[in-house]
Amino acid sequence: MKPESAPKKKLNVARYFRPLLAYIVLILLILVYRALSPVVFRLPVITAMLNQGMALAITSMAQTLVILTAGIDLSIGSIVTLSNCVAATQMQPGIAPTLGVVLLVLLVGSACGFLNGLLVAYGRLAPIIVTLATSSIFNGLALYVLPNPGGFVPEWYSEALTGRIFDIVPTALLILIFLFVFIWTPLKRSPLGQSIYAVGSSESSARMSGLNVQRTKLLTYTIAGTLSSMAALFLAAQTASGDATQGGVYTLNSIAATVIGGTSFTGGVGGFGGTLAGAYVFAIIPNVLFAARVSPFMKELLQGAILVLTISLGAARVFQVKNRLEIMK
Amino acid sequence: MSQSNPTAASQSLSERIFGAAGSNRRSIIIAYFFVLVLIAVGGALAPGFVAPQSLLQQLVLASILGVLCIGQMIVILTGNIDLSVAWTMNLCSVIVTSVTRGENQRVTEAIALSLLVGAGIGLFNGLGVAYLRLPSMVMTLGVNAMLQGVTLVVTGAQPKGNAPEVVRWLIVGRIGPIPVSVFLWAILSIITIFILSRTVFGRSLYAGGNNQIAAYLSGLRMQRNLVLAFVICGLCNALGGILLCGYGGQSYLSMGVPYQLPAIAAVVVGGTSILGGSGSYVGVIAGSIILVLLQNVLSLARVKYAGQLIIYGLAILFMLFIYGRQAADRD
Repeated sequence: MKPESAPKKKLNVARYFRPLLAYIVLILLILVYRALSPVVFRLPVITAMLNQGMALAITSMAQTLVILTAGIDLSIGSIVTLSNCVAATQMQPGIAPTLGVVLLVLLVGSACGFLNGLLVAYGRLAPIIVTLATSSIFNGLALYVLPNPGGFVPEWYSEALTGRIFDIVPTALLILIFLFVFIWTPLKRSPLGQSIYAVGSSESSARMSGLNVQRTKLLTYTIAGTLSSMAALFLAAQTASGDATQGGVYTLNSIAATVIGGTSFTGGVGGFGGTLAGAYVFAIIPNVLFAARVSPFMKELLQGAILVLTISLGAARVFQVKNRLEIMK
Repeated sequence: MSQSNPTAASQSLSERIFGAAGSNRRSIIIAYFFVLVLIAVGGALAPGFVAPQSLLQQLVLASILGVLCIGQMIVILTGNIDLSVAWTMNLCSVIVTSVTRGENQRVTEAIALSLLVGAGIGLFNGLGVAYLRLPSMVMTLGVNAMLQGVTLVVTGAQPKGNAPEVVRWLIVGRIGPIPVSVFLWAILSIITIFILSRTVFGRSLYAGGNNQIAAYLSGLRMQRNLVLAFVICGLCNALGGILLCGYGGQSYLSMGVPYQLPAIAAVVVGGTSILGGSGSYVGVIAGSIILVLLQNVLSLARVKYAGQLIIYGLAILFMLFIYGRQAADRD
């Protein structure tokens, strides 16, 4: 019995080590925050914290999907920007028109993702440089749509997304649960989700197993685009306006959150579970610094240091490998 | 890698400099063709654009980008990438202005310190990528954020001091008819082309970028070379920062940010594979010039900034489609 179960358990520890590390860092940060500022566990503060990390959490889910296929999406921030600008310029006070605009925004994001997917999968171009180019295009379009920050977002819309339901449950929490239970989990278990993992771990094996690699990539980038526009819709509610410069940070922060959450940069390993922790680690840092009365200039320094440190911890196995060929790609 | 792959020993000198005959040489010819097209379009829009003085001014701008591209290309050849360009430049520029405070007295120390810091940043990146085997994109991204923090803390978010005369001279000065920065760029280009085509280090960069395992098994010291590549990149970023400091006459926050993506784009537009292992600096020179010319021709045509961004992106995609496509995997 024992020899059989032992290796299985070891595998699981290895599999969950990196996401676990992200959750440990997150809990440590929250504990530090609690020690510095006693109000942390009050409802309004929890709501505010959940809201603060929401757009990053959603974009990081998009980035996680793309990185799982061994790709990268450097246009996520620009899709957020473009979608945000479309939302802020088109929204009307009424409920029905606003819902129409929500659909329109989701369509814009999906179209952007679809374009990325077409270029990567069928154009056979390297994802990093394709999305670099398209991010410039989407940014330009955003500036056409909304040259100056402003626009209009109905108050009820902002309150509905960033407030609390019955004054108890933060909407953001429900959105996170919805993302995890109704989007991520079914997607991961679907044939598409399994092909995403298969393509990421070995593209040629996936192809030889009869999977449609190109279609998988196309759909992955499209879903990433849709998710990015969902993040933009939340951002519009949060800031109650549009700004053609505010989405840019999500490109690089979503990569950082994904990697901190334990998704392998070479594809095929990881998931949204860890990414979620990574996103909130990144989002909470400014609050902790503020509570500690540390200069806000330390924010980037600390974010960068946490990123480098967590990936370095994950790299410890390099020193255990005897045959160097094993760790080469 | 490509259709015909002669061993390094059997390649002629021109093949080493311009890349193996075929796709690589074609991309260089196309890149220089587009330089001519852009100059022609600029000339058609405004006859003054093709005057020698105006073109030299374009070259000055291209020289800043071109210096950055030396480092970025060397790193990209190994199959990696450096995303810490922006704040390495900024920190190194801040060092120059704050050490000298606009005076010429301590300019040597300031530039030396600046280059040393750049090399140190590259060393840190390189050690992480080569020995901890961290993905270069993430490593340099993290380092970039840290450098941003360091720059903000060091300057208190308000960089002081102007560029000293000597640093200004790098941009406005002339050696004969040629601007100093262009002269500097030309010398560095020759050295780069020499290193990439004639030294063991240079050839091993290509070998490693093509097939890391084969290069390692052939006895090349790949980890050391990778660290060296990042150190060179850090040095180039520092030098780019110093040149930009001379161009702007001062240091300001986020001054390096507009150079991060063009540095990568110019390398790729110049015909270097983003996946590593192939490309030549002769093409990257054209790539740097193309990006600078494109921007100026668009401003000349009074295209709004929004339109410039769109055309910029389309132009990169267009160049990629001409020569950046990967072969279909039909295994």
